[in-house]
Formats: sequence, structure tokens, C-alpha cells
Amino acid sequence: MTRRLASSFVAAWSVWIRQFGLWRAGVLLLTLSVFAVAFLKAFDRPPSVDFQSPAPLVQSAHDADSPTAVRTRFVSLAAGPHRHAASLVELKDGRLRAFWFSGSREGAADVEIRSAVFDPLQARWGGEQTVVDRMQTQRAVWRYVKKLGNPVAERTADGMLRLFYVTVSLGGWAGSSITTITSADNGEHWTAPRRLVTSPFLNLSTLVKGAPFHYVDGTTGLPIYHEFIGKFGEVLRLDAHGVVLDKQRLSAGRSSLQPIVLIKNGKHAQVLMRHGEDGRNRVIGTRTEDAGRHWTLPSETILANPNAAVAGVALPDDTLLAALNDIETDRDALSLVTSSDGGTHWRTLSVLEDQRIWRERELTATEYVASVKKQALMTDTRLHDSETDAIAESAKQHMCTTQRCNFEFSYPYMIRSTSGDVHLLYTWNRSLIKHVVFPYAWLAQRLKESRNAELH
Amino acid sequence: MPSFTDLTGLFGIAWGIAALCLLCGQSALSPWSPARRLSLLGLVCTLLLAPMNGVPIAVYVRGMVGDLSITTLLALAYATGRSLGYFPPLDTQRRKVSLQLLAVIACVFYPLALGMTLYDPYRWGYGEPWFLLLLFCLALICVLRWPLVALSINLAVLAWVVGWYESSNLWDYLLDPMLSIYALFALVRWSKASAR
Repeated sequence: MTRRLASSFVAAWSVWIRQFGLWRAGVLLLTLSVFAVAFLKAFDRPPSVDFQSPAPLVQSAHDADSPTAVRTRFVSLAAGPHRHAASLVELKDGRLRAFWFSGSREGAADVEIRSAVFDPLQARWGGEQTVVDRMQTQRAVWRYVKKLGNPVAERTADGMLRLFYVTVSLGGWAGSSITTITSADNGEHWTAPRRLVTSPFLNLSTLVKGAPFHYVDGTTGLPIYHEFIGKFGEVLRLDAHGVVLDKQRLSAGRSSLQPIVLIKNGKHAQVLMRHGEDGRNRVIGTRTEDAGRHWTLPSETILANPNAAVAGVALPDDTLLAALNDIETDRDALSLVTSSDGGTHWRTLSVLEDQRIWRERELTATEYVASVKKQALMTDTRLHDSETDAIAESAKQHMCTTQRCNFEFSYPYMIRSTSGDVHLLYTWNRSLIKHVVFPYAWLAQRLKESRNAELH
Repeated sequence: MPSFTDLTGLFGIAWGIAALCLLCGQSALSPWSPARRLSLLGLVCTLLLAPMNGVPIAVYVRGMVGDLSITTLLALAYATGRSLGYFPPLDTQRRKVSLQLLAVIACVFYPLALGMTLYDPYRWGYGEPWFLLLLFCLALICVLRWPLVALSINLAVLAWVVGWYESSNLWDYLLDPMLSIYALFALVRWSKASAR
């Protein structure tokens, strides 16, 4: 009986294949098999989950002898190279590691990604070292690499360090893509670079600037932006191996770039973006109330913005802090601002830099050097004359043209450490990276005092 | 040593350039036997992958254009096989409809994917089940009407499933700008020829 059924089945199939065609039957079988596996892969994708809420503070943040004054210093005093676009990450042992790009000028072939470590207990930075350069990247990704750019670091849920950095193969920053390396030993040694594919048009024009964040399942949210035909912000979701799982759009057109995502709790986040269109001069904002499943339409905030990067963190009590050039043109002033209502109204907590007085008159080179030396000493009173001289010469080299000399304080990057202190890095006259520490006690006091301060 | 995805990417670029060279030089190479032309194809491929100053030429091209989609590679393979006399000519009407469909998809897809609006169709490629369902239905229709296109879709989806390239997005296996530009160019040439 079974044998008869089997032979009838085979006979029926043979007739069908002869009528349908062997070729078509083969393709049909392939279609069914391939798509069965494809659907399995699709259903295996991690579902949407909530944000990882900000980490709680460790006990030392509340100790009576915690520092109460803002401290400033330079990350590295080796004057000379052009330095820009720093980022910062807290290591497992509480130290901080900074990354930036450094070379003869922005976009030069000799630009490398460099790094240094800050020990909060000794309150000093260690020596800087090269993390990766253009040729190493080119050899590892098996693609021509013309130049390197912005690095952004992440400590993954399992404690590894992952660094994302911009690489360009074709043209200017519009031709960027993202490359990534990881370290299992706090940044002493790194894996070979690997390219992330994030755009369908020749994988062009994806850059990083904003700090990564995490979802509750350990996946990573990486704010990215495009600067090709459009200027807009997005968020990538990556798994533990750095594989892209999803992408969400935050803005469109040419309106904005360089998003930062301030996570308030599992469901709520505020995004601030640098404005990308001439004439708008305001930070662009969008927010979510369902862990990023949906975002509000991007709109202008009250914060001024001269087409420059913004940095920020969310504090546990829903207070937002941001560091930015809160002016409409140029980048010669930088402030720390705060919002206690989710980003609608903002107050200034501290003016970090302000050299706008020099706008109306042209500084001579001598006056410029004198001013830079004074600013350097104000940043770190321990500097020797020879060090301030070298710093001033470096700033003059990078910031002076034949017509005039300029000041620039830009590309801030901010994190909150587990001790509660807020650490800020920013480019200081394109020659040094300045580090500002806002202790927990100072923040608490200033936030209380600022409640009556004037709104922006 | 390159990783698997680098090998596939580099080989795809080398193969794509070699096939294009062969197709562009068809008339000049027509006196050559198919075996000789196939050898030339292999030689060009090898030259593109051989290190020159430590870096193969394919590395420079890959840096600029990325990895070619599976659809492009298959189209080039068929065109090459056709020029060598191994495959029959494609039905003109079917070829035209396929290119029209490709051109329409590209004209809608790329502007949206590059930020024209808040909606991003590139996101479907990360494993949206209904996108797969759409492709499945399209593949089934093509099995009946034009199995070659169904095969192309299947191989692109299979390549995505196994992680053939670095990209985890199915769109990068289905479509690329080179194929889209070719489709638009071919259609413009056709309509000019029809107008004459």
C-alpha cells in the first residue's frame, strides 16, 4: 500500500515537472528553500526594546571630600599637530580614555586616531598614543582609504571597548563611511578595522559624532549623520558583534546633522542636532516617548547654533546638560547650559569660553599669541613658559590666515562618569583638546542656583 | 589575508570590471574563440587582484564603489556568457520590462534612502518580514513568467542570509547604483532608438 502510494506520488511529480519544466521546477524549489531560511533569519532579529536607563551613581559621589570646583586641563601638551573631534569613554576601572584625530591638518593623509588615558585619582592625563592610521585601515578593510576623521568610543555591555571612526575613500567628508575596531584590554590593543555598510549609495556619507548609548538587551544605539546630498541624522542599532540590525531616521532633507541622544529613562529621550541649513541658526530637536520606536517631527529649539556640534548628557533627575556654541555665528564662545523641562527652556550654567570681544578688531599675530598664552595658563596654571609658547605658536599656525587670527572652541563631547562627575572635551583652537571636569557637588550647587537664572 | 567578505567583495569588483571590459570590446574581440576570450577574462581578473605596490587595483575601485550587488554580478555573468555564445539571447520585451522596473525602483528608492523624506525604505532591508514576503511573491510570479529573474532574486536573498558581504542589508544584494544607472541609460537609449 505504502509502496503504491509512493510510486503514485513520484509519477505525479514527474508528470508535473515535465509539464512545468525542469528548469522552472528547480527555480521554484530554490525559491521555497531560500525564502524559508530568509524568514527564519528575519524572525530571529532582536525585537524593539527600551533604552538602558542612565547608570546609578557610586557612593563616592556623595562623599563630603569630593571636589567642588570645576577643573580644567589639556589632554596632551605636545603642541604642533592639528587636533580635533575628541570623544571620551569611561573604562571598567574608572579611568577615562579619550580619542581624537590628529595630523598636519584636517583631512590630510597623515591624520591618525590618537588616544590618551585620564586617571581621576591622580587627576592627570597619560601620554598620547596612536590607535590606528590610514594605511593600517586600508590594509585591513581592503579598500582604498584617503583620510580619517571623527572617532567615537563605546564601552559595550560586555565591557569591550569599541571605536567607530570616519574613513573617506572618495572626495571629501561627503564620501565618508564608518570603520570600527574593538579592544578587550581597555584600549591597549585593537582588532583589525572592519567597515560598516550603512548606506545603499556606494556606502557613502555616513559619519559619527554623538555618544553611543545602549538598549536593555545590550545592543548599541549609535547616532550617525549624513552629509552628502542630504544632511540628516539617524540612529543605528548594532548587536554585540557590531553588525547593523536597524536604522532610524531622525531628520530629513538638509536640515540637521550630528545628533546626540540624551536618554532620560527607558522610554524617553531627547535628541539635539546641529543645524545644517544656512540661516536657521538654532539647534534642532526631536524626542521619543516609546524608546525610539517613533520620533517627533524635528523642530528648532530655543538654543542658538552657528552650524556647530553640540554635546550633552541627561542627569538622573531628568535634567539635561548641553555644551555648545550658543551663538549664531562663529565658534569663539562655548557655554554649558541646562534644561529642567525636557529641553523646552534652557539656562546658562557656565560660560566656558568667550573671545567674541576680538571680533570687531583684527588682532596682530603678537596680540593673538599673548591672548592664547593667557588662555592656556588660565586652563592649566601649572604650565611653564616654554609650554605656553609652544601652545600659542601651534594655535597661531592653525588659526591664523594672512588676513586675521581666529579663536575656535568646538566639537564638544560630554559624558557622565559613574562617580557623577561630568567630563567635557572640546577642540581648543584646533591645536589642543581641552578637558573640563564638572564635579557632582559643583553641578548640584549650580543647578540649584540657576533656577532663577535668565532663560535663553 | 582578506576575510571572507573582503574576498567576495574584491572578487566581485574584479569580475565586474573584467566582464565590462570584455563586453565593451566585443566587436574587436569577435575574431577570437570563446575559449580565448574566457582566458582574457580570467587574465584581467587576475591582474586586478594581483598586488601592485602591495595593493591590488580592485582595492582602489572597491573603496570608491563598494561591493557590487548579486543582481549586477549575475547580469554581467549572463551578458558575458551570451557574448561568448554560451547562453541564448534574452527576450527583448522581457528585458525592457525588467529594466523599466529596476529604473522605477531606483528612482524612488535612492532619493528616499538618501534623506529626501523622513521615511527610509533602506530600513526594510534589515529583515522586515513583509519586504521578504513582497520579494517572495515577486519571485513566485517570476518563476512562471521569467525564471531567470526569480533566480536572481533567490541568489541575492541567499547571499544576504549567509552574509556573503559585510552588509547586513538585503538592498545591497538586490540593487546598486551601477545597475540602476545602466537601467536608466539603457531605457533612454531604447526610447531614442524608438523615436528615430
